[in-house]
Amino acid sequence: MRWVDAIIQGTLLGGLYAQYAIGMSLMFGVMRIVNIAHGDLVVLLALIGISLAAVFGLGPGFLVLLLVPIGALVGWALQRFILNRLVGDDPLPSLIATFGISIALQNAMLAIWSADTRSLDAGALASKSFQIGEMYIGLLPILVFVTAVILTAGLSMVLKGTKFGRALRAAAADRDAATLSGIDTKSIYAKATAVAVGILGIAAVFQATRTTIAPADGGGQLIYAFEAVIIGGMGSIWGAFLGAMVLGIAQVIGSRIDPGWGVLAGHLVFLVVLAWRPQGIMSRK
Amino acid sequence: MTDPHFATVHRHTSSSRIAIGCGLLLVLAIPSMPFWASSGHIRWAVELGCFIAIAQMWNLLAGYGGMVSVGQQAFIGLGGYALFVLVTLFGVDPFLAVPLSVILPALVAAPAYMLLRRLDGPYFAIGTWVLAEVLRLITSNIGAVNAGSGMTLKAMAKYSAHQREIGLTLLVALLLLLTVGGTYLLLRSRLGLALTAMRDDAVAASSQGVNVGRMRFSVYLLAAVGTGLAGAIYFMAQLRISPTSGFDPNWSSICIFIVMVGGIGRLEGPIIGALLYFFATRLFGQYGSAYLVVLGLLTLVVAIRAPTGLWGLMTRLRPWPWFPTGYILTKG
Amino acid sequence: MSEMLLKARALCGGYRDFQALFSIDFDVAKGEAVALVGANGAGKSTLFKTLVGLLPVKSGTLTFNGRDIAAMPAHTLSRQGLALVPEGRRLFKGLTVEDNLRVALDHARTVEPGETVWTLERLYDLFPILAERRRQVVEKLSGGQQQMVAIGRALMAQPKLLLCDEISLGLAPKVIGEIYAMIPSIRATGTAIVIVEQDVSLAQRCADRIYCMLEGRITLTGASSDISREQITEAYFGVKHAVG
Repeated sequence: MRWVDAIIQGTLLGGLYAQYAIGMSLMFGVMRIVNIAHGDLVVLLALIGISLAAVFGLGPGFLVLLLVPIGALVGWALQRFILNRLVGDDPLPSLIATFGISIALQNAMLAIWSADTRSLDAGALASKSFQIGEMYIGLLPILVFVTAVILTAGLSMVLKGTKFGRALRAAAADRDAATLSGIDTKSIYAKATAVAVGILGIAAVFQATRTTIAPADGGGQLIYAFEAVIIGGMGSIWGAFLGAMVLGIAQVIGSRIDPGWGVLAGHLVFLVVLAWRPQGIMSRK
Repeated sequence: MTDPHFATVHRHTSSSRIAIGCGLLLVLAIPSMPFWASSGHIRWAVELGCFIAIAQMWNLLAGYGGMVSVGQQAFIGLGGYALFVLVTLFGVDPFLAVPLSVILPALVAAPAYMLLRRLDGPYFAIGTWVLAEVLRLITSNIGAVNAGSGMTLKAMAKYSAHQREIGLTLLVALLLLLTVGGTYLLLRSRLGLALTAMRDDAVAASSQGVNVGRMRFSVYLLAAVGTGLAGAIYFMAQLRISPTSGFDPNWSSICIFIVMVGGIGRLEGPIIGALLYFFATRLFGQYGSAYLVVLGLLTLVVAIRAPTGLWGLMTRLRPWPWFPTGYILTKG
Repeated sequence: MSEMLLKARALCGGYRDFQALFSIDFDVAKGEAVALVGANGAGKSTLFKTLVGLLPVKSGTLTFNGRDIAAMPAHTLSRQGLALVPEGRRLFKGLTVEDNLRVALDHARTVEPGETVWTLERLYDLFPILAERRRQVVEKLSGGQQQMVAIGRALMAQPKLLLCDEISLGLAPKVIGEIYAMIPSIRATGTAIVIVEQDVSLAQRCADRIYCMLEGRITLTGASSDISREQITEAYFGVKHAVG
C-alpha cells in the first residue's frame, strides 16, 4: 500500500512539473530555444501572486486570472524584445542571454522579497482530502493534476487543429518556408513564448499553495522541467507530460527510501533514460 | 625586397611579442610573491589565477568546442574533493595530491560526455547542470566525506604559512601555464586548426575530414581536467570544501560573465574578463544583489549587442593581438 | 504589352558581404508566363529570393502591382500575391499534406471579387493523388507528389504571380510531364508564372518570354518565339558556342 501511495503522490507531484515542462517543450520545439530563466519566471509570478494576495486579499482563483495574463505579457515581451534577435542555429546567444536574465531576476527578487520562503494560503482547499482505503489524497494535488491534463490536452489540440497551431508547427519545421506562406514568424514566436510563460502563471499559484517558494528556487524548477521533457521525448507535448509523471514518481519513491534522495532519484532516472532511451520513452523511433 | 610577388608569412606582431613576454614574466613572478607581497595580495593572486584558468577552460569548451556548459562546477567540486579525499583519507601529501586530483574529473568527464552528447543544442547546457547537481547531492550523502558539512584540509597545518604560500603560488603559476599557455599551444597546433574550423562551421569542418565527435570529446575532457586542477588549487587555498561551495552553480555565472564580457572564442577574452570581474567584485561586491543584477543585465546586453565582448571591441579599435593563433601575410 | 505586375529596375542584391545580382531589369505582365534560364550559380535562385523578400534589395527599384515592395518583409509579400515554390520544395515536415496546404490558406491574400479562388477542392481536382493522401505526413510522399504539395501550397496563398524554382529537379521525365501539364490550368485562372528550368526547350515551350542570366546579370531577353537556341546558348554560357 505504501508504494501504491507513493506512485499516486508522485503522479500528482508530476502534475506540477508538467505545467513547467509543456511550455519548455513548446519553446524548444518551435524555436530551439531553452529559456534558462524559465524556473525563475515561475518564482517571479508566484512572489507577485503572494504579494497581491497579501495586499488585496485575493484568493488563488483570482490570482490565476491575474497571473496568467501577466505571465503571457512577460513572455511576449521577452521574445519580442530579446529572444527574437537571437533565434538561430547557434544555441549560445539565447542561452547566454537567458542566463543573464536568470541571474538578474534572481537577485532582483532577492532584493525585493528577501531570501525568506513564502507560500500562499489556499484556505480550506489546502486541507481537504479524500480517503481511499488507507490512503488520503489531497484535493489540491488532484486539482493540480487535473489542470495539468487539461493544459496538455488543450495545448495539444491547439497545435493540431487551429490556425495558430498550424502556423507554429510550420514555423518549427521550416522558418523560411513558413515566411513564404505568409507567416510572420517573429510574431508567432512571441505568441508561443507568451503561451509558455502564461502557463507558468497557473503553475506559480499551484507551486505557492502546495509548497513554499523562495527567490533562489528557479534553478530547481528549470531542471525538473528539463528532465521531464527529456525523459518523455523532445518535441512532444504529451511526452513532456508523461516525463513529468515519471519524474514525480521517481522523486516521491526516492524520498520514501531516504528523505535525502528524493531529488537525486529524479536525476538518476533522467540519466538512466538518457543512457538507455535518449530519444525519450514516448518516442516511437 | 620590393618584388611584389614575394610575401612573408608570420604569426607574431610586436604587440604579441610584448604581451607574451610580459605574460610570462608575470606568471613567473607569482612564485616570488611570498618573499615580498602581503598574504592578502597572495590570496588575490591565487583567486584571480583560478578565475582565469576556469574561465579559459569554459572558453575552450564553449568558444572553440561549441559546447555551452552551465555545469563546470561539477569539475571544480570534483577536483577539490579529490584533493581533500587524497589528503585526508589516503594521507597523500597535499602538494603531491594536487596533480593527482585531475584524475577524478577526467574519469567522470568521459562517461558524462557520452551521455550528454545525446542532448540537442541548448539541452546540452542544462544537462551539464544536472550532472553538477547529481554530484553535489551524492557528495552530500556520502558519510566518508562528511556529507553536507564538508571537509577541512587539516594536513596543511604541517606546513608553515610561508611554506603554504610558496607551494600555492607555484601551483597557480603552473596552472596558468597549463591552461592559458596550453590552450595557446593547442590552438597553434594542427589540432587547433581543426578546432578553429569547427568553431566557425562544424558541418564544413566535418566535410573537410575533421572528426567533430572526437574533437568535442577531447575538448570536453581537457576542459574538465583544467577546471578540476583549478578547483583543487582554489579549495587548497580555502582549506575547506563543502558540497554547496564546491558544486556551487555560481561558478557557472562567473565563467559565463568573464568569458562573454571579455570576449568568447579568443584567448585574450577570459583574461580581460577575469581582471574586470575580479576588480569589479572587489569594488562593488558590497552592493550584493544589486551588483549581481547589473552583472546579469550586462551579460544579457553583451549577448545581444556585442557578442565578441570587450576584446572584440578593442580589436576593432586597435588590432593588437596578444596570442596570435593565425598568420599574417605581408608583402616584401 | 498589358499592365505590368512585377517590375524590377537596376536591381542589385545578394548576401551580407557578397553581391550576386547586378543591375537586373526584370518584368512580368499580368497573366504572363516567363522562363528564367541560366547555368548553375547564375543567380536565378538569388533573384527569386530577392523578389520575395528573403534577401534584401541593395539598390534599384522593385514594384509589384504598382506598389514599392523593395523593403517589405517576406511574409507580407505573400499576402500581396507573390508566391514562391522554393528550390528543394521545403515542405513542412511532420505536417500532413492537407495541413501543409492549410498553412498557406490560413495566411492567404484576400481575393478580390470576380477572381478565381484556389480552394483545396480545386487543387485536389488538379492533383487527384493529393486528395487520396491528404492525411499522410509529407515525408511519406514520393518526390513528384511532394512537388505537387509545394506547388499547391504556393497556390493556396492565392498568388497573382507564382515563382517556380526548379520544380522538375530530381524527378522522372513522366512526372515532370505531369507537373508541367498543370501550368495551363494555373494560367487559366489569370495567375502569372515565372519558371526557373534547367531544360531550356521545356522552358521555351511553356513560356511567352525568356530571360537568360549569367553571372548575376540578365544577358538576353525576348519573346520565346523570337529567340533561337543559338542565342540562348550564347547567353547561357557567355561565349559563342556550336549547338550540337
